[in-house]
Amino acid sequence: MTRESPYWNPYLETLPLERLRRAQLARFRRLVAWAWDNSPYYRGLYERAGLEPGDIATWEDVRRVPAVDKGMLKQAQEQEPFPYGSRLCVPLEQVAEFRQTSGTTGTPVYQADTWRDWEWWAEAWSYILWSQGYRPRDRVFIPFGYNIFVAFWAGHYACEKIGCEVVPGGVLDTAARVRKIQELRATAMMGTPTYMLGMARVARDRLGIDPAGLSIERITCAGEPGASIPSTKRRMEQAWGAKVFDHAGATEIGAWSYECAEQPGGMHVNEALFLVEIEDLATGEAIEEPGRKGKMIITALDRQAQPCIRFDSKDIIEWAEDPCPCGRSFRLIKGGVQGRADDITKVKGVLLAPSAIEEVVRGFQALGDEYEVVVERIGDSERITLKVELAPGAEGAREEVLGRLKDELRLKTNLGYVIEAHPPGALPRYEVKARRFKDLRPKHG
Amino acid sequence: MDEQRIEALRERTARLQAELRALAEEAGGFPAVAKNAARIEASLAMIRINLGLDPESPARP
Repeated sequence: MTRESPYWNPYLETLPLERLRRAQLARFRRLVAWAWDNSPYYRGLYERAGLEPGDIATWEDVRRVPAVDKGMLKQAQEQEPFPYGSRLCVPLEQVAEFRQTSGTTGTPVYQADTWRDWEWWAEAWSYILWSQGYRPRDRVFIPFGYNIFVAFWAGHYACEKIGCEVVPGGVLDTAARVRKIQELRATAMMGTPTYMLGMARVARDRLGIDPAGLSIERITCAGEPGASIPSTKRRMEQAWGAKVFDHAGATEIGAWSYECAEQPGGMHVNEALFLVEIEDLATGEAIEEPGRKGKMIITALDRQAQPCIRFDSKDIIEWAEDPCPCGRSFRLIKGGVQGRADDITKVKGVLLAPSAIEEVVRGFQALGDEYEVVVERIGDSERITLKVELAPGAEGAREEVLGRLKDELRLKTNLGYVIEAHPPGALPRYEVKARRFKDLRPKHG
Repeated sequence: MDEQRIEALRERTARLQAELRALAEEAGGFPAVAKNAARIEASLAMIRINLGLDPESPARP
């Protein structure tokens, strides 16, 4: 009998990097030609830059191709054909799937996919799930109504492709979902870190069920960076008695990165399906070497209906120093997505990434899962208030815990905080993506 | 992975693709065949991508 491969694609996932890179260059050139031939938006963009597909021969040429960002995609969406706009590369009759971005930064971006694109979405997710140990014996519970958002739909289809049994857990409330996991002895689950922690709380506090005693062996997270933040990952793993894996994706792009079973402290870029470049935030210079953070420019190399070529995702990443012991030649990004260029904010003249606060707070067992950060301008100065919940039973250690929290925050972020401790359950709970960082400073002045 | 094995898989995939396109052409006016053939073609495109091929054209990258 043929031995089962630990890789979804034992050929491309272990191909020497220089060969992968050669293939990426060829496919990037082909994608630009496809967009030039079929999308008035891309043709106009490239003509204005004085560029034709035949001009792309080297990596230097790739970097001359104008990047697009979310604002540009929204502008293109206002053109014909309705509702996708002039970035569309196929006749409307070939569009098989509609999805959209969450619209947290304003108007949502609509995403058209052909059936081939949809197969491709499931393919990208299959790389993720297979690497994290999902196999046909798994019964996967997805505790969401997928709606018009893509991530869990694609996870669902990838489960089917792999051969897992998939249980769509939408419509049910959280308590009913916990009971369904118990009833069906589900072995795996997908969700946002916020919801995974919230669901564990409901199991414990409302149902008297220890989630770690259920049958969940692995959880794949999406939508928020928490599964790459060590203290948040630890909380989820302890709560559920399961391995927790991160992945990163975006509606406009696809599921481009994943943590493998080795969990080396970073995520692999799927270099079979995506081209990832890192640019210096200040100079725009390409960063090839490990250890330097920059923003990601990404291209999904095979999307047909609405390709997104050199998308400025604003994600902050850096290449890891060492290869992964799993044997994949796909490069690692250290610590996953470390933040977003537009999330990093200057407070009291110091750059602050919200994920750094989360890492500290979630590292305190005496604090609950929820927290909130409020940044305000008071007269001429700025103030950061951190609201936390003391865990049940921690009231006696209140002063000691809050003192250590303050010290740890100063050490990790170089900033001082006003700490407010609240009783368990006092702070807002979020169902899917949380909004815990509130910048109330006036935009100008 | 063994390059010869990959090449053999690519050749078999190319034969399937040619056969599938012929089927889709012959099935004009027969939606139940043509539409299912189109779905298989999308799956075949994924096999081509996974074998390092352009999903559309027979050319090697």
